[in-house]
Amino acid sequence: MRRQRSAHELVLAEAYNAGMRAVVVAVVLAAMSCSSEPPPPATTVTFLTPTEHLSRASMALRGIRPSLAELRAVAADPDQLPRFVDRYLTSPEFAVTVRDLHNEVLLLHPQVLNLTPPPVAPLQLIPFNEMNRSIYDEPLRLIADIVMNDLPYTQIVTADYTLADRTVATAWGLPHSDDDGWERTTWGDDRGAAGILASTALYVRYRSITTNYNRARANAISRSLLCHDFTESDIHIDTKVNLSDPAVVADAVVNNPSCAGCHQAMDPLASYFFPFYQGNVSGVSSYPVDLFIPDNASMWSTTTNRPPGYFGAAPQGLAGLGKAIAADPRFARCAVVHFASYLTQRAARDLAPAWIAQLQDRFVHANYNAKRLVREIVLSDEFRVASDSDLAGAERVVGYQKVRPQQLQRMLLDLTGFLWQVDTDEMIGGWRIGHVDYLDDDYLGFRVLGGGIDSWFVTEPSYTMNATSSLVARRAAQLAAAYVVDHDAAAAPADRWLFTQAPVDATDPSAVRAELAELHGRIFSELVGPDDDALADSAALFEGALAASGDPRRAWTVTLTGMLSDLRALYY
Amino acid sequence: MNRRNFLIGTGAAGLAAVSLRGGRNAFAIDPPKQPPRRLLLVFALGGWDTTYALDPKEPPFASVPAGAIQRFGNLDIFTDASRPNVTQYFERHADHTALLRGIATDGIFHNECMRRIATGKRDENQPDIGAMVAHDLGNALPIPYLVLGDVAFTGPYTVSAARVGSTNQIVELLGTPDADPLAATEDALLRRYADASADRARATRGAAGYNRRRVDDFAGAFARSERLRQLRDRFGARGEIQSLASQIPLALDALQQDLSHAVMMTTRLGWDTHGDNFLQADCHETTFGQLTPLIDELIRRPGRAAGSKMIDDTVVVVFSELSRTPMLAGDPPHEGKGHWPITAALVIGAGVKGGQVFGATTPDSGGIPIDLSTGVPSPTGIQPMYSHFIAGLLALCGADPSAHLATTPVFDAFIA
Repeated sequence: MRRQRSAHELVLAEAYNAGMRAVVVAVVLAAMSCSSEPPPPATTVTFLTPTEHLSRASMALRGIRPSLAELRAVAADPDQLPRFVDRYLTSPEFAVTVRDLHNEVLLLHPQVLNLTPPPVAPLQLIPFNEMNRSIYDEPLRLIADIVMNDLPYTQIVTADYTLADRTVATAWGLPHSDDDGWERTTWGDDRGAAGILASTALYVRYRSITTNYNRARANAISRSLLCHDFTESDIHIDTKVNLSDPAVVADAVVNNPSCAGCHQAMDPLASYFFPFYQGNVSGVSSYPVDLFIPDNASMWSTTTNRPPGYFGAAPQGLAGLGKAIAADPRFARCAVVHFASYLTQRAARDLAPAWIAQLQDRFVHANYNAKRLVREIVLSDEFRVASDSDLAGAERVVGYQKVRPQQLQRMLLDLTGFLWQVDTDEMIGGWRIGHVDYLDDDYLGFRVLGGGIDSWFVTEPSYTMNATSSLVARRAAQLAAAYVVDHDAAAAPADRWLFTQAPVDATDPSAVRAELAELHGRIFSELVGPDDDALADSAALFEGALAASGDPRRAWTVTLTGMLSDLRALYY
Repeated sequence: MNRRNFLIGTGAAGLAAVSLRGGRNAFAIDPPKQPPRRLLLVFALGGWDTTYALDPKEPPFASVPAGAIQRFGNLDIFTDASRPNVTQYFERHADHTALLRGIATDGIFHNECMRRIATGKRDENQPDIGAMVAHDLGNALPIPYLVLGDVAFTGPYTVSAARVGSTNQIVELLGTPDADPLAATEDALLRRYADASADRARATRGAAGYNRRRVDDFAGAFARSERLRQLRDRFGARGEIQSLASQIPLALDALQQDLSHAVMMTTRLGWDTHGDNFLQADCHETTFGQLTPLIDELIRRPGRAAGSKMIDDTVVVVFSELSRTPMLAGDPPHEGKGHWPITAALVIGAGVKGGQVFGATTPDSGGIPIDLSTGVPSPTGIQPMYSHFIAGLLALCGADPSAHLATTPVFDAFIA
């Protein structure tokens, strides 16, 4: 006789189904993507000019402005634009962008003392920032290596290697040539070919308290690789459950409907991560230290009693997990969403589903080539959109993208040779901080004040200006302007950064306008001639500053400060 | 009656008339609009253990520290001689203080709950209560929303907010008073240049919608930053905002001198006591040890209206995104408590029904439905949620809850 399911069982089944619904939706979306095409843009939408488009592509991909030669080439022949995009995609600056993009996803740059392996022998003299940055750059460097070498993006969870510099190699005991810089290496144990899933840093960053059994790690991986965030589930926490009693919790996550919906999927995923040390790294006493402990792999059997599993399947070990994630349609879709969101500065929820589905389809068929995906994004209408004359449509058009603090740093360095940095003996928790890049640092620098993230308290960048980001931009511009004026005053013409049309002491109006035309091209990506009306405001700024001080170098410093912190410089 | 239905801890709210209404919403008849009030937020990040003071419990339903319930008017607070700052605070300021119990965050993850308890919403990119109040009521000030602490959610009101940084880095950006006689002239030139650029953008790509807001924010941010530089002396020195004690004077000055309308502070204490839960005592002591002089100062400093004090036009909210499990877990002597989704909050100052408790929890710290307009447990009421809490704070500060939270019922029992 067939037993009737109890109400409790039915509720439990419903909760489980709710947890699995995301998988089904992703599969359906993937299937739909084969036949659906994004609708054409509205007729009220206008697009960037080819040179504006080139400038946006250059900034989004590299964080630096296109050269004048590139601008002129595209102005003369817009069909040249894709060729320059291809060039940008092979540049070292794009590798940095790939790391920045994935840091916004994985949140791996928190300057938090107890998340940073301590300065103990033989790294006892290493400054805080150097240790912190190296350790957390390791998984980001691996991703960038995969992308830059045109390897399938799935390798971020299946690669059998990682990257290390001397610090990472020393800390984790990885083979290394002892040369400067980053190089490919391998984990010396049997953690498996699992890309960033094998990265010790990932698990130092995401720890669960002992009785939470790697759930924070599981959610971080699900959130960042599948775009499935268990913590956003629309559930009510059942306070009848004594959350301080591990036995009660263990029962509830299996049998309590309000818990089981998520935990049926999350806990088996979490069980893969028991081999990674769960304690605080501040207790490390010397290097190398091995935070991967294979003997702990079966701890699930004495804790959650959930064997490792992936949404109903049971792949073996981290390598099996990596393959399962790579084969999950949510992984491809999530990667597309991350790239598209970063490059268009639109929230994931605001990205057109049909466009994402189309990108996903092509991404998969291109063997997960991330550079081809990025190329398609930056050449798309969604990327090159400028404005919409329809008021409702104008609300949805992101026609101005704001420079992130790290992009501002690269842009200023490329234009002026100036890097806002310091080597300091200031301390954090008794540990010398060392090198600070002011636009990529939160403890002494201005990354968050400039609109960036700190990977801890602030996890979403700001795409608009406020008083502090305005101060940051102008201070950076002022310092860069002063630096480049001094530099170019002393440099031979061929070695000058910006003053190629006139020396910094020039006051002759025609020479000034020739130089301003050059600066408009370099800084704003505007191709204008010396007699163009577009120079009027910049010329007035120079003339006003010169009239005030009588000092042409000071006048140029003021003019450059204005230009480098202008709307046209800070947005693209 | 099982123990979950046995309601305790309702305090003075039980004296109020019981209403069957679940709370007001935008379609209900609105109560009289409150006057605009300034807002000081004190965020105890990490999750406080409410059994240490704000929501007394007893064994065997909870593991509690040494102490006993002490009444301060109608507030029942858990105190002990070992935690004198807690006692002193309520001795001095209970009459200004409303205690809200049983607020559900509907989650047990820090980041999610921080967002919910601060914004009243689950979604990303929503403004928190400070950002909303500052935008609605103080947007003409130089820095409507000043963020001294670590966490704030500014959402669409980012342009109205300013962070000082974890080591008060803003001081470096503001520079030193400029003796250079040319500086003012050059600043004016730069301002004119930026404004011209914004005007050009408004005439073209930045004419409407999202683009227009970015252009307006660019120009507005420039103007606000200039006003900020005029106030550089008020921001102290580098590194001075590490503790709540050093944030408070900055916050008070910012409000009193009309630099800001709302300020977010964080206690920067280790509330997240998964181990060594006894450290909650130190956290409470340090925090209440600073809250007392904070309220003292609000009572002492002049308010906006002639003859008034800041306490007459300023609201202080002390809150935490989580509380802690009723029972200890782990090995002695390092037992800790996990995350718990029912928390409490203090609402202090202007317009507050002080000396009363609103809302309640079960003996084992579960939630209880209440009438949101009275704070009294009611079988026909609803569980007070983070959204109701934020709606109530908006109303208290004189903002329109429905403008931000649509039809969310307003937990306004604590408004005088």
